[in-house]
Amino acid sequence: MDGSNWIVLLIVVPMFSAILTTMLRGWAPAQRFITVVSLIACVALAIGGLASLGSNGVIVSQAGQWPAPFGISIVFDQLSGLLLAAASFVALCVYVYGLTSKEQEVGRGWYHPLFMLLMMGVNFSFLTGDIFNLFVAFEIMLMASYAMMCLGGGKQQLSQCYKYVMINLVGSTFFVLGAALIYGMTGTLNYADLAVCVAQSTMPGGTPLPSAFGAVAMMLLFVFAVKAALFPLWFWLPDTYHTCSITVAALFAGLLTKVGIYSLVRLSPMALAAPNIRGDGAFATILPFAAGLTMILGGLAALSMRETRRVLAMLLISHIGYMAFGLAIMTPTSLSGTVFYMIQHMLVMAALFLACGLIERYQRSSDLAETGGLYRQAPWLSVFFFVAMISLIGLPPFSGFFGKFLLLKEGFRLSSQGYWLLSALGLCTGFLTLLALGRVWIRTFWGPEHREGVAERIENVSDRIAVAPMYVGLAMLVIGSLTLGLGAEFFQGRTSDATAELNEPRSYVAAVLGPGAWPEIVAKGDESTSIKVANTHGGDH
Amino acid sequence: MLLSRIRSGRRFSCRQLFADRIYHVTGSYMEPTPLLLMLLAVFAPALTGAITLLAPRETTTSRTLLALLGPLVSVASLAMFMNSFGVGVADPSHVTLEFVPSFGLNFAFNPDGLGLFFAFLVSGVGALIVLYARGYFGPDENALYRFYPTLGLFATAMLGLVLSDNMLAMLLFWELTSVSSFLLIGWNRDDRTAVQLALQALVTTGLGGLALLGGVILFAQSTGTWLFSEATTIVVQGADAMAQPGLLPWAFVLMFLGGATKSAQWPFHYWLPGAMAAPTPVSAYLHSATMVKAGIYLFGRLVPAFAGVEFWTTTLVAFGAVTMLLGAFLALRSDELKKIFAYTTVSQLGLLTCMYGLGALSYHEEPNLIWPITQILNHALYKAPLFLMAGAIAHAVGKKYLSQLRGLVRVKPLLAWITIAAAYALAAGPFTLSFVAKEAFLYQIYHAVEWASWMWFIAGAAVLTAIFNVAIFVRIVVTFFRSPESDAPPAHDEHHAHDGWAIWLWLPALALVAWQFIGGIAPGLYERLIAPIETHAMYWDHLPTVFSAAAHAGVPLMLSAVATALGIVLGLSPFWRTPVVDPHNKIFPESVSFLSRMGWGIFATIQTGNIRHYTYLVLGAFLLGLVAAVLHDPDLLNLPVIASIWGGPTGFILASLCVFTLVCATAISLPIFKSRIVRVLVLGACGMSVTGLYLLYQAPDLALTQLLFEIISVILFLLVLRLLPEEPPRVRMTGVLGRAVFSAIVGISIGWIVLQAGSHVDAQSAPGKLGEFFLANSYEGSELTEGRGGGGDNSVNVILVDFRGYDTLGEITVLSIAAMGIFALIAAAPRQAQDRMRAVSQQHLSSSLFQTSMRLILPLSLIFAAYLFFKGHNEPGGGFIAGLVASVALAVYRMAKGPEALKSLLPIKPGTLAAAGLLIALITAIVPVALGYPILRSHTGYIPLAGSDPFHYSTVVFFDFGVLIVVVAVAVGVINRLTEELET
Repeated sequence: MDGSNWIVLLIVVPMFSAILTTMLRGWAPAQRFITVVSLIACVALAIGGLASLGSNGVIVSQAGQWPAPFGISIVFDQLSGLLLAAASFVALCVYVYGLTSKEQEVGRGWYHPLFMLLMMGVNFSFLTGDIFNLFVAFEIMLMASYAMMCLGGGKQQLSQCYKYVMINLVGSTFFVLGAALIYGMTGTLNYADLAVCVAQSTMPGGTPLPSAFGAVAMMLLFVFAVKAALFPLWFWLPDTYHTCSITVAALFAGLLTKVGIYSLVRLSPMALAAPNIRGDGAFATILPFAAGLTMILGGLAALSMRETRRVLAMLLISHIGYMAFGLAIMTPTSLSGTVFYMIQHMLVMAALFLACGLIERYQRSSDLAETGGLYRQAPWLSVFFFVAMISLIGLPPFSGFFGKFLLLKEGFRLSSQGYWLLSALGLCTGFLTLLALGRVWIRTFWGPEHREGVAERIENVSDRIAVAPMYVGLAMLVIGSLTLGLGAEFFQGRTSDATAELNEPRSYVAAVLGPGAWPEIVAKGDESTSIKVANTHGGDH
Repeated sequence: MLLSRIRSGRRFSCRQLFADRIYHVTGSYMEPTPLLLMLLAVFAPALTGAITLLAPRETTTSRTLLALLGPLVSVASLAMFMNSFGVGVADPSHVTLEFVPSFGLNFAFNPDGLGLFFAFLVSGVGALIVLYARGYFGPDENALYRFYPTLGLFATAMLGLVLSDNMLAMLLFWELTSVSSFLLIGWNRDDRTAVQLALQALVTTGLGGLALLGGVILFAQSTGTWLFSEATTIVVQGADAMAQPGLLPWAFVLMFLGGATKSAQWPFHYWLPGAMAAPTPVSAYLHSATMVKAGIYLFGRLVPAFAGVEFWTTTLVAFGAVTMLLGAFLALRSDELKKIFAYTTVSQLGLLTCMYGLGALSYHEEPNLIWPITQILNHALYKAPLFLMAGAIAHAVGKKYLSQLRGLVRVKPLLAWITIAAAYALAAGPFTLSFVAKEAFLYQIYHAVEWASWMWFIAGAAVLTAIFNVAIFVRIVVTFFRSPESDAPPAHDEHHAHDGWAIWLWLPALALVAWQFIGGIAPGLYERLIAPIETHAMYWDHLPTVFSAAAHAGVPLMLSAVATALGIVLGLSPFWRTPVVDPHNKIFPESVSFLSRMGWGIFATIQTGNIRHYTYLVLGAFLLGLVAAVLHDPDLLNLPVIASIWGGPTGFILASLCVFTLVCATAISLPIFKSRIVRVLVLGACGMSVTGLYLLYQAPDLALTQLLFEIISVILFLLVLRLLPEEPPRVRMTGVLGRAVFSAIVGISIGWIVLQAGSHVDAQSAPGKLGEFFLANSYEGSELTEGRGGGGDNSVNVILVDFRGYDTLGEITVLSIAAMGIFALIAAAPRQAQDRMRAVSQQHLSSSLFQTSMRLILPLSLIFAAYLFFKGHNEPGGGFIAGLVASVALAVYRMAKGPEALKSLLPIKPGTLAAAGLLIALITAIVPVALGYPILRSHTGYIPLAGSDPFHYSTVVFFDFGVLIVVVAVAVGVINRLTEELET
């Protein structure tokens, strides 16, 4: 375990930076410098960690040096590492974009610490190996998001924020209740230990978990579904993203919902919706519906929106359906598709929101009736938007294609179980996305310049300087998404490594609890049971 | 020149030339490998197109030449490939460039007859279009600057599409053609209609692209390979060779949809006439000669595999025939030249689809698919010139409607005659390649009738189409020869100076249309030119010529004679002269508006903006989840075994009942009281009652925390209440009963789950589980911990600051963020509200007794807090509780003495103080990391003291101190902020 303790730096660095920037309020340049440096450090740490992992390596650090499952495990594996790297990169780009934006002043210097605290919460969620600790991580993230959402606080904004807080409080209540009940029933909070518990309970001779486990698992999955904004629990998202500042919206769009999805990816296959536990079928029944409806209804709603930012918010939701689609199938391939899609969605969604910020800056509005002719004012913005748009639509070889492709393929492969329907809905969603974004494109970038839209070129020097970091942040994200698409072979290798064992986390459990902790079935001639347990989830229907 | 050399078979010189070039680039001698040639052929246009961007804006000649180089290099590479390696490849791995192998996406090429034919067509016409564009745009450097890169991109996409063997690579190029076409149709960016039409084309073909993606996945899934060539072989071998044969029909359906949208089959044909908003070079190239043939190409590619699918013929023939007839009719009823030609293109595409449908009928006996290919070439050879001439005419006389072009023969004889020549081919007159192709088609239908009698309808449609085409030709000729309406010569469109490039407005058209007549008059020559491509494919048979047709005069020739005669009559007649609007044009806008309205319906239903609806939604969704859980596991409804309570001593039971009653009574009465202040107090009472619960279960720390927390929160609530506006007048609320029932259901369900789960809570205290571990290792260690204990008797505190100190680190962060949020929010509050707050904050309780007593109470409380803090590790207490005690004391002090007093007592800003607390905790947490231990690793030990017990210490005290500071800072900060002047 020696040499593994550095992984907490991914949490310590943002926290430390937040503390420093809190103390340095009123001295903005220092705050900016510290934040940028620590975001870069996070990216570097995550990438360095990934580089040091083998194909199924796991780095574990036990907080307080108390052995698992008693102490809290901090776990860095392929899945966490990939998401940490992506999230930190997105945050860095968004922060750079916002270097000159005005909410930094509005928040009286609170913007910087809150930004880093949000990142701390996100990193915390990706790293933890303990359900209650995950709750704490969510709270850090949510609390920071409440505060950031209110920065600048207009009436409209506060009223939306209030709804957001209320809904999330309901979610948090269920979360802490669920965690407590899981603890009560299994005597553990540690992911690995829980996975062992669940695996043992389904084995011949194992004690089955109580019926209530299914209901409590459902409760937790429900909580994650709220965070992930699955149908019909998405309503908190469109209005809030519409009212807060664009950097905050981009950051949220890139990261927040993904943490919900991450929790589902991490916990459902190994524990909460693992095959053969009592009541697991319930979630397996609900999720395909939730995924399909999220995709298609979100897409339809996006079509009816009249402002770019709202279109993007609905598309954000709609595409979360893709990730849920992979979860619903729950095979290693489909989960790999989900993870790939998550990473690309982080980059692309943040890029689109940032681009939307620039649209609003150039045209004073993102209302489709008030914009037009932007390609002439801002050719590079048009290029970036176009690339991000194509990527979200999912045309090859852009990043959006690959995750979606894996999912569609897996859905069609399992046609006999009815998953073809999800694939078909996935294709339809691609179509709706194309239509919705195509509309944004021709109304905003093409078409005649709108007279009332106060279209003006950024001519003077100070404006150019103000706009420069915005372009840098946007460009970094777009280049990141291009890299993801063109290097799909490499990234797909990593994501499939990351998800290969999610259903039966042997290496993970061995790393956390020690070798031999995963209950292997001793062959006793009863082959039918052993095959049943070894099956993946998708094969059970 | 290069081309002719290749054609004449002087392969050595070309190869040498090419190899030399490579030599210069790479520095070492390299044989041109098949892969390299393929890559060069495909990517050259895009590369040269991109390079033109580097040229200075004002250069037009070098830009044109550079852009021309791309298609020429493609042609040369293709020819070299054929010379060196022949048509088709034996080993696919030689022409494969791996891209994303794990997805099956590789650039694998298959230059067989079909592919090479299309590739030559694309690159050859592409070269002419580059030149034509120079003539069309004139020296408008901005237009050329934008045009050539997009055109190059399109040419590459098209070449990749037709040469790819890998289905996904083909899909990639397929989508790229849609995108580049979108960019080209929306050429006039400022024109709302044009960009709308561009979107219509993109979305329609994009729909097909997605269907194709689905189809390709299903095709690959059913055959187990991503290569067309292998998949075809596997399908031909039969169902046993396939992985999932059941998917094959669906693969066909989706791929047909893909091809049909791209190739403008009814009812998707509407996008093609709309795409005429593009500049003419684009219309001629993309929307007539090449891109719209992509779907046809796909059908051709799939015939061998799907010929066995039952409904292949029916589907293709039916859709093709409808499209063919509809297109021809609408062409006749159009007036705008480009529209006429666009609709005849639609018609021709229908004909081609029809031919491939018929081809499947006899495919396995006689693979005679040469005819569709002849048709494709034939169409490119007359339709592209027609478009080019439409553009040239519009350019020269500024008119784009046929009815305006009376007397063109006199005004612009050259343009008029080239147009007439091309239109003659459109009418399929004798001595053109078109005639040959039409005869072939009629022959094919005639034979298909033997197979199914409903094919007579198709024959009828074909004859009608031929009649319309002839009529169109007749009308064009008649219009051109009539005398002009006025004697004034038509104004020459002088929007740019003509230069030497102007001849390229008509020269490419002439070059293309010449082939029509060469092919028609001397089919032998045509055969010889096409043969090198086609003999290697399986599509070869003799072409019927005008002579052979005459020699074997039969039903086909008769039909075509009848059609010609009727066509001339119709052309001269006054019937069907007024233009009509295609009703299908409404399909796209109507369906978009339908979808959008549907979307709005969904959005508005969910997004009411009403928090109460949202709560219903959340809880309702949760209940649904529970229902699903119950359906899957009905045991959930069984009454759980709850014996433990009734087994305890009587006192315990009585106390439990008391607490139970208190908690329930306060909780239930909460919604009954209407006044805010009463509600706050009742809520506080409820919280206090919960304290009893903790006491019952012997958790003094929790009880203490709960108690203090309730006190603080009641204080906070009261402070906030003072700032709220007046309570709104009481209105009688409706639907109370429904809401009460709903709430009760939710509450009971959750209670039920807790009860269910609660009947199994013994798991945590089982041996080897967390509960047991925490108690066992609280002070002394055990084997599990290598002898290291938590060093505290109070296991709750040890859990908080040591065993699960990492959670606590997170929680104090949450607390600080909450405070920060409040600070930031109040800082941003509107001016008016700030003033109001300031006014309120001036008031404080000024009872002198209260003030005096504070002198005593405050120090005592603080000492008590310190005591709790230091005893915390062993007795009830600890940083959190101590912090709360101190906060309560400070809050009361502030109430008594006013804000200034507190400020002088605590001169540091609360925000900074909270940060300092966090910093202390964080440093304690990470010092072990610096020393090579995990985060928060504690160290306990004894300092021997002379004469007394050794002093027990633990490093967690620093962490706990951080917690204390944060709690105090947050509580004081928030209270301050709510009451006091704003901190700057």
